[in-house]
Amino acid sequence: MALFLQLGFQGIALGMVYGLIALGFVIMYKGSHTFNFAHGEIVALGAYTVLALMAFMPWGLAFLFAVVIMVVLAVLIEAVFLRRMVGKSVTTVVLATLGISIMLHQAILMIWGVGTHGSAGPVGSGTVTVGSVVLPWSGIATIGTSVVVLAGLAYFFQKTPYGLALRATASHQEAALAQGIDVRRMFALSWGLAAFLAVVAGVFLASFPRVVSPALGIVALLAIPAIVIGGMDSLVGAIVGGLIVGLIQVMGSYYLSDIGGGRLHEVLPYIVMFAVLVVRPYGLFGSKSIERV
Amino acid sequence: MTTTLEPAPIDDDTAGVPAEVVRTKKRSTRVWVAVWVVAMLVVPWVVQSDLWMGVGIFALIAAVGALGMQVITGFAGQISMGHAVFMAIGAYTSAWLGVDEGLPVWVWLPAAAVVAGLAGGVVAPAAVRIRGLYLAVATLALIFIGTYVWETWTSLSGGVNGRTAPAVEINGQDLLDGYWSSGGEEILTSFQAWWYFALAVLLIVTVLTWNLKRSRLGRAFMAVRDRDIAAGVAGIPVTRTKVVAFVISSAFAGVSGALLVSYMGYFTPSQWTMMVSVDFIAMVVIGGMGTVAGAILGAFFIKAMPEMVNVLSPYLPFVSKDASADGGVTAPLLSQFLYGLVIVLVLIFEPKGLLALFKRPIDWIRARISGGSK
Amino acid sequence: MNSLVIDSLSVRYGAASLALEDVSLTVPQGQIVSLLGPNGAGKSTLMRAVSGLLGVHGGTVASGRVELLGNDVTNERSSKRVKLGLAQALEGRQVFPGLTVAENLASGAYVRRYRKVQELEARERVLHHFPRLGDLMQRKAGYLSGGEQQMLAIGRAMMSQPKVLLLDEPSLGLAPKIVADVRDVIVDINKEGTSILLVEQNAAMAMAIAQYGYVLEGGRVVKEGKAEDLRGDAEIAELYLGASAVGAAEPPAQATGIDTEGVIQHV
Repeated sequence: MALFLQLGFQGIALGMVYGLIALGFVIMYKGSHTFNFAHGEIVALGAYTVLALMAFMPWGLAFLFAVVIMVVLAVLIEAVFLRRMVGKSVTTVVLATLGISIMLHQAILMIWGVGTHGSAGPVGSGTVTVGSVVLPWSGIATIGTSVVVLAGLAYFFQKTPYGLALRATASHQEAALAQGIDVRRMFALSWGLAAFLAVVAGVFLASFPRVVSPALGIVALLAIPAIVIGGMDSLVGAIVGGLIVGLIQVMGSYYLSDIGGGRLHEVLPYIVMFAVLVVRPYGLFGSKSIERV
Repeated sequence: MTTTLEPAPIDDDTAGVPAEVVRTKKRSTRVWVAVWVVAMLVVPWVVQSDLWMGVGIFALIAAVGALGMQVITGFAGQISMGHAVFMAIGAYTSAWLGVDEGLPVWVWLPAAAVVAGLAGGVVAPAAVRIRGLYLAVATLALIFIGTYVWETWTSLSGGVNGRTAPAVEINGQDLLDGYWSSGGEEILTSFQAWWYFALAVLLIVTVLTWNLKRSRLGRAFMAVRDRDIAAGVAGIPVTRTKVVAFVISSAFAGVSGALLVSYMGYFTPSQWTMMVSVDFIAMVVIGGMGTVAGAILGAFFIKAMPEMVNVLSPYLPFVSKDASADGGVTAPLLSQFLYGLVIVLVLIFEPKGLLALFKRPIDWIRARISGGSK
Repeated sequence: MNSLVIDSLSVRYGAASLALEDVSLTVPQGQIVSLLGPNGAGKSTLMRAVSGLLGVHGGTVASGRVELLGNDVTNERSSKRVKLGLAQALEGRQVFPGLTVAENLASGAYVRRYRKVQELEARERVLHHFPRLGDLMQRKAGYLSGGEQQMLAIGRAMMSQPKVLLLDEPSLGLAPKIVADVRDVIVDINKEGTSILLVEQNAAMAMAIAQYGYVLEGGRVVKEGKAEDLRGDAEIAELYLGASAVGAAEPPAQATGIDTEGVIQHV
């Protein structure tokens, strides 16, 4: 039983990370009608940046600076590349984000190389024992921080004028323009928010028991099954989908370790995602209007 | 992004153009095709460098796959990340039939196409039901599922260590050893032999693609690409059309995969990565979406790029030779970075790709020659 | 100063032929001007040219000028125009379906950056025109009836206290009683000082409350004149007023400068 709880806890912690990454995808999708393939690499780049800065300053400062850098980078990408594509088809825009993701991935390899590095998280490998359950501090930090970030995000969306303007833009872009909302600024805002979430997710994705490595960008793509399961245009769906993926992976790594060569759990989220696509393509919380991509 | 209500069709050279101009264009196209075929036939006698011949062969093999990518993305307008998977299916099919069962290339090569195409037909209906990005996302999942399957199905794939691929044997001779006369003289080197074989396959696939584009099915693809709601209203079975496009593209990918592993001789499960799929998307985008020539041009561009960067690297001081664990700009990394950049630039400035970029000076010259009459 | 001046405006979509050709129109300060015409005449195009939403639909200004409150806004983006004092209720309502009524109204106020107190005041003024909305504050706008959504759309537009209001087909799809209510509110808003450009298929309703009218056909202004004159015009009466008597049957109670006798005659 203790093992079950421990695994469940780890699964939730990992799931929160996927949820945050998935949330970034969904915010960009709703806010600027773009599916940003490069988001996974932004997560990776965020983690690398924090790690690099950690060499000169305490973790907290490194994190803050990394957030600033990544937000600026994301907004620049959006303004320089994506805005030029206004009026082009969705296919074209998504392919452009694919091109950007290639550039970012190669840049990471050129700057930092192919090897693995240390942890980018705020806490190390320590654990705390609650009753008979052993919980890692990194997991606690992950869940705690994620909850705070999500609460802040909810407040932002529901209670602030910018949040309202962003929701209006996502709801009906032309009507938002008609109210005088600067929709271009909303695009930049949605990308900036996504970049912030990417850094938060990145440091915890590269936290014990994981480390910073070039594979982070691929691992971050596990947010895609999360979005499909949750529903591509649902904020709540992104978090729920992320949790499901995290739990599948962690629980699967133990309970399914005898089946299929012991690595089934790594690919299980994608299998589940495929099944969801067949049975209920809009996901758990998505709306049928997803068709209007 | 704010989108206009009328996305522009990516390619139709003959739209709204008067008949005489179309006829002249068709004539000049035939000239260019003839020139290209002759050039391709002559290359192995002109190019002395083994290195560049190797690049060329890889490019020919990739061009087959690129044509498949053109069908699904350039013609039918769907983004697919699945090429790596269907190449692998073609490769493993060919290995099983060619090596394990000892069957000749005339069996395993078409079989690679058939099996990969069938696999595409199984996968597609689920993924193309919804418009937009679901195919991209579903095929992305397939890559990871595929890698898992190859690594786990060790009797077929040899596990992480890989397995041998079938050889192409013409008249009992393995082309990788060159082509020899019965008197023991080497008629063709291995590079030359393989070049001609790959070229032959490419020509067949090119003709097929060309005909497909002009056919009713091809026009249905493009209707779906440009306005799939309108296409549905016009009576085109949209989902079925997308599935057919996907099957064809998977079949071509299967052929390309089989050729690739046969030329390499040995292959592992870990080589069928997302980057392989992305490479093919890059070929089609950079070469020019919607045209046969664009796909082939793109394939050559992408395959030649790492070597070109290598050639230039003595002049680029920041480029080092070896990949290190701590970073360093190497030729392969730089070339992949560059083609990511070129993808973005092409999409922003010239969505018709390099092909259109080359056409511009040619059209300019043609206009001058015909006395500036429009 | 005229609230809105459109001077020899020509507009095209993409590479197609002109959707608007050499259109000139003026909305004097404090007046209601109506824009009539059949489907496809270019009325919505004209509205988009005024509000800055042409780009969304792939349109561009080929020549001419749009002047809002003395400012040349021909190439300005829509947010700039709203800040200058323009507001609009789009064709088909276009409320934010996933947002509540309160949030929809707040979005209309966004551009003014009100302090909390000012926003509440603005909202009070809107609710004064549309008391029904007060009961619906927490309802998601997607669940409102057509008439309620129309009121919300206009109310949302009023939140920024605009000097110029564009109304595109406010009566579309509404029951006659609601149309009459909407018409009355438009008149009230105008009395408070807002200039209005009203596009309407329901010509009778439009001419009942406007001071001046333009008729658009095939992208050109084919007729214009004072409301009384247009109402008396036999051609227009036959084309536009004959079929729809809605809105004219109940003349507004305290309209200024409106000839109720003339309206009833043409029903």
